[in-house]
Amino acid sequence: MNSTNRSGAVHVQGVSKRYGNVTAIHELDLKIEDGSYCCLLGPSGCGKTSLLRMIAGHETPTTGLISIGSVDVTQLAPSLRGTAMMFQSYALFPHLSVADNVAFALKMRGQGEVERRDRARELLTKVALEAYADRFPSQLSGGQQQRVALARALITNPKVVLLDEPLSALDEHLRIRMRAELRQMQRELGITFIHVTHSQLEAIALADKVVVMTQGRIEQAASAREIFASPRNAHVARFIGGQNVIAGEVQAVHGSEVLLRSAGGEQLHIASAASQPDIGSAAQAAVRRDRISVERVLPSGRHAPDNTLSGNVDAIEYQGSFVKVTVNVKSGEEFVAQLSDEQFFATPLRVGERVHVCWRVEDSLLLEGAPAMGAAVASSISTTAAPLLRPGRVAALT
Amino acid sequence: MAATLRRSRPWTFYALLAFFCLFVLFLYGPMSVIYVLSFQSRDGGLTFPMRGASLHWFQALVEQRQVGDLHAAFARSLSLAVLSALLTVVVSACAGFAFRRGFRGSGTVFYLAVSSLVMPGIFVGLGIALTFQALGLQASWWVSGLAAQLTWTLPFGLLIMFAILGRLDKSYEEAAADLGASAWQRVRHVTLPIILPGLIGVALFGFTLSYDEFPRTILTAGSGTTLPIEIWTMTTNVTSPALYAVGTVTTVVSFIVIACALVAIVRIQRHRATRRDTSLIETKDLQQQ
Repeated sequence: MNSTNRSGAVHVQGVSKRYGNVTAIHELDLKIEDGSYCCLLGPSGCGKTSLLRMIAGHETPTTGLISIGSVDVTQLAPSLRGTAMMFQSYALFPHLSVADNVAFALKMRGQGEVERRDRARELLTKVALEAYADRFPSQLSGGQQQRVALARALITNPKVVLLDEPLSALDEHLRIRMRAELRQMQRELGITFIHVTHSQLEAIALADKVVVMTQGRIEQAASAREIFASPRNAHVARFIGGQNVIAGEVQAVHGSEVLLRSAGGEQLHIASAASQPDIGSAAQAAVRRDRISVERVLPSGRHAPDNTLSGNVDAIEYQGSFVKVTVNVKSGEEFVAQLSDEQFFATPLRVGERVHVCWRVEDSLLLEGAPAMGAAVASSISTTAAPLLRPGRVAALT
Repeated sequence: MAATLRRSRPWTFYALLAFFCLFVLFLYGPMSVIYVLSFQSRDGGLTFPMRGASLHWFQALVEQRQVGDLHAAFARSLSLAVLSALLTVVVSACAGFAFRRGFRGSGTVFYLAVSSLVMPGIFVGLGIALTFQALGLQASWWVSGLAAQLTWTLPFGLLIMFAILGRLDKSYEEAAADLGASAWQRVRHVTLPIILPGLIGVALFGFTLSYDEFPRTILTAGSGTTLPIEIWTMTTNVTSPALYAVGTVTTVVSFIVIACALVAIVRIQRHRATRRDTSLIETKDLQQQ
């Protein structure tokens, strides 16, 4: 196929990056499909920007290969990779007009003025800024600057557009609008977009593929829906939000269901998709925050819930379409139930009230990675929940 | 609003204001005396009271009867100042970029360069003069004199470049590289235009520091003196307001240079804010709006 050279599929193989003694990225593998919208998501310092800059060619990996389409670009100059980067600050040249900014790459290639003018106008039309061609960047709003930066990046006909926190400089309303514009632009162009962000909302709204990173490692790379609904481990579950994480000990395994004894001593039935944990091993489970019912009186008989934890209401936060109820359960971590406003206001709860939080097996998920290996988890259990545990159980958990 | 602000000001504000006024008076008072006294008539003296008013002493400067080598000294000072300004801009810009990129031993080089600021100027001049003598070279204003002045202007230029480049976002250069600009194109089309106002500032510093440089120049200028040296000589043997007229004229020259530099900077910045570049796309939006 002749499209292999035009392909914007990005393949990262065994890439690591060290700065002196600090390892920013550990041996990382990632495949990004041609024409997809990929978000690199993680807290600051997780290595997502380093990875982006290595794909762009502004930094060189310490080890590993990066290829775009079928070309190994690891050692290529940024402008020879078929990538175009949009910087967080947009980096529009302040001394050049909008049109000159957009046409900059063509000028560097020595293209004629007429050609440059036509092409710049074409791209400015694409981002609906043709009327601003003669303005200077300082005369534009943040959203307009962002569109100019995009037009400037697109003029080289890149196979891959790299965006470094492109929306972080905008206010909330504009951010949501520009987010939609970016996604629409990517769909129209059909080229690969790789977008670095620390906002899970942004990533979930935009991406075909979300890559969650922490501390220079990929925690999970999957579709937005999968990342949200089936986080692979506690890191992802916590970072994406929308899930409560419960630590416990595996007591029994029945097919695709695991019996987990929580740190608070409750027996919980947790769905376990793939892994078959060892009995007696420490494990963590995620529970969808929007699939939890909060009851004053525990239903019994046929309506008895699969799982129940009890505690006092710690905080109630109105969020518009839903109400966030934080319940102080014995398992130690913050436990949140998101109730629809209708549901909540039918029988409003009060802070301090004793309640039971209930959910079905299928709304929970056993997470990968035993927490016992992390001393942090063990100590968080022993510090926050120790008074509730008998010494023997702490020993079993750690 | 101004009234409410003023009401709320504590007494310390007025104390400091008075102090500041005294300071300004001290700063500009003596100078103003010189300017005023330079406009006396033919029989004016070196002190108050002022006798008559005329441009007589400026006339005397032009006619060059009692002012010795003043015209040549002025020409030399002006050329030295321009040379110093140019060299300071070129060298400190290059050095600034080198430091920005980082190199081995950059810390040592920086301290070596900047330490010449704290060395007593007269000894720097003396050292250079002695070295020239030891090497059998003739000291002259445009070789040893210029070199001595550069030991003064370059560290300042470098420090200003640090401030300018420190504010220059690295992503401009990266964006240019991303768009296919070569190293030279990045400098030519991106970095230099962006830091141009700063470079004018460096040039201005180089100019004014050199224009009135005295301690480093007096022993290194050789037989061709500069304006400050000439004025110094005049204070010992000229006993007329012609000396004051020199002061007025040189101050005017300085102000003209500063004004030119400021106008250039303001024009560049305004140009960036409002220029309508018709080279690429016709002023179509003017019709649309």
